[in-house]
Amino acid sequence: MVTLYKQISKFVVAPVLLGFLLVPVSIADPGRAEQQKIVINAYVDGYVLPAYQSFVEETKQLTKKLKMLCEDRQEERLVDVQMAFTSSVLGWSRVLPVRFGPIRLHNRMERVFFWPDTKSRVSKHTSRLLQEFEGKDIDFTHRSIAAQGLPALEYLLYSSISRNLLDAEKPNCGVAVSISKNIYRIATDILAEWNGDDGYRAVVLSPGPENQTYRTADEALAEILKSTSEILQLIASSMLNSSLQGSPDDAKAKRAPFWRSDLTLQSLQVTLGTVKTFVLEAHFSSLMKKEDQGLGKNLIFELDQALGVFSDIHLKNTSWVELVKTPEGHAQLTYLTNPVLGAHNLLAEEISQAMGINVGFNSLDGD
Amino acid sequence: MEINRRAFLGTLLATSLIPLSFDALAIKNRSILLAPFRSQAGYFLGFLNRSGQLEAKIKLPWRGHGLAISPKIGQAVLFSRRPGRFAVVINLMTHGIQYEFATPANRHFYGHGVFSSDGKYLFATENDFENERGVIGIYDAQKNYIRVGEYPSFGIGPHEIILSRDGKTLIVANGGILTHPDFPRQKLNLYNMSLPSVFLIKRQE
Repeated sequence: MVTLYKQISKFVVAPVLLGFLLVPVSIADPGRAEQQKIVINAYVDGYVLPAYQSFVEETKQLTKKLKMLCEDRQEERLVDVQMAFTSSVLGWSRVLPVRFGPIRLHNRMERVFFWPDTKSRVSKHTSRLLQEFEGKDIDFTHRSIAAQGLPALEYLLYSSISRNLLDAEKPNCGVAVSISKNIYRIATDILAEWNGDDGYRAVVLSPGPENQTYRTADEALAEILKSTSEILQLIASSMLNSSLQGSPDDAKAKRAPFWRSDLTLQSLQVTLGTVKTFVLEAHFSSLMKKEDQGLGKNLIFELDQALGVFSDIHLKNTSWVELVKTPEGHAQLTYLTNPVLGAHNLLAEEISQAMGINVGFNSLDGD
Repeated sequence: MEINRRAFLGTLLATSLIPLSFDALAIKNRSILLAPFRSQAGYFLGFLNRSGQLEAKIKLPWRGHGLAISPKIGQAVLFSRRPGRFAVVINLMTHGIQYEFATPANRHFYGHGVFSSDGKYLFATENDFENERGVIGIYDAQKNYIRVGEYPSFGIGPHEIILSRDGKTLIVANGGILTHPDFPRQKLNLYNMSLPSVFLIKRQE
């Protein structure tokens, strides 16, 4: 297990080290070290592990509901499946801010969540699975990752072919069960690799000279800050802006994740709400000096501003695809990018500096 | 031209400039360094002497990345950072912008380029993002940098491009990372990324 994380450490330690070379902030304060440990512990045990545990349970339920549908193809069972799919997508949205650790091994992130999909690879490769289905569990080893995760399942459940799930002559239900099992297996593997004596939890919580990934608590904390700020950047720059395209007339709603199931907004709202919750519950502010505490409040303010937009939008009861095409909806979503980017900038720059940490480059940066 | 990179960066940091990259040239027997940089007032291209002192600067509407320099025609081209589509031509004598030009709408720059040795043509690494392939855009420096053609880069994500010493071969590094301007800077092919590669495009005699 430790060997596996050596692969990750190559990508993680180098930029963090560079950050320390440029801004050599080092505060050897035992009280601070203890407080860092408390924050990291709260993040891992209070957020990461329960969120993955829930995702495992949700995908298990989804597989169960799909099997029940395949055994008895009733309309109400399809509704049950779609509800379980919603829970799984929202469960995934909760773990989305964790962009390091076991999720980064074996292309797990892309296998669960193949996005963006500018070339319609999800529908093409999932259709191929339907054509080649032999009535037994699919071995995904040499299959496209576009057909392995939640977007592939979404295509089977919410596109023009979704009624085929009710047809016993069609392979759709069997393929859906296989995909769902695959997602459940990946979720289970991720959770298992976080747990255990030498799991990733132990790696994050035990920084030191012998630790291949995090030599100090500062490095572990930098990883958490970087991962959190990165998802905020991704939401604003890619998930929202790729659809908005500057004007309602140019908008491309289908660039967004989970547009078929109309779960785009709920998914984004859950991810942002999750960030707010763990920032508060892990007491990020406790790592800043008294005079910098206002930055923590600013972060919560920005996240609240963003979350407030969702409340206004939900009142309209308009689908994502329609919303981005209306001037008012487009304006609201464009506004939404501001507090999200504001929160990103606070975390990546001001708050991390106030904590005495330079988060270095994230995976969206580079040459 | 012989400037120690570490000492120079140290000087820049001491002057609180944040260099984004830099290129050097010798002009009128003195060294000049061109460095796109960021300050609280925005993005700039700076002209620095060998002591790292800022002699002139040009405000830019976007973040610059790499430069192509041709002392022969007294011009430099600064490319916007990917996925930007814009570039500016700088007069090296006046330190002013002579032209601005852009890629076609279905291409964007990767931030680097190089002049032919006679300064007549500019070659820029670009992304043909809809077809998921890299190309080398060819611009005519004698005709206000109109785009006159392109070569395939034979890979994804061409980045740095240099000219061989004899001026006959373009050497292109394909980074292998697929991106699309709708998803700025997001790596879209980590699951099946091929190894970075280098291709040579040799001029026919």
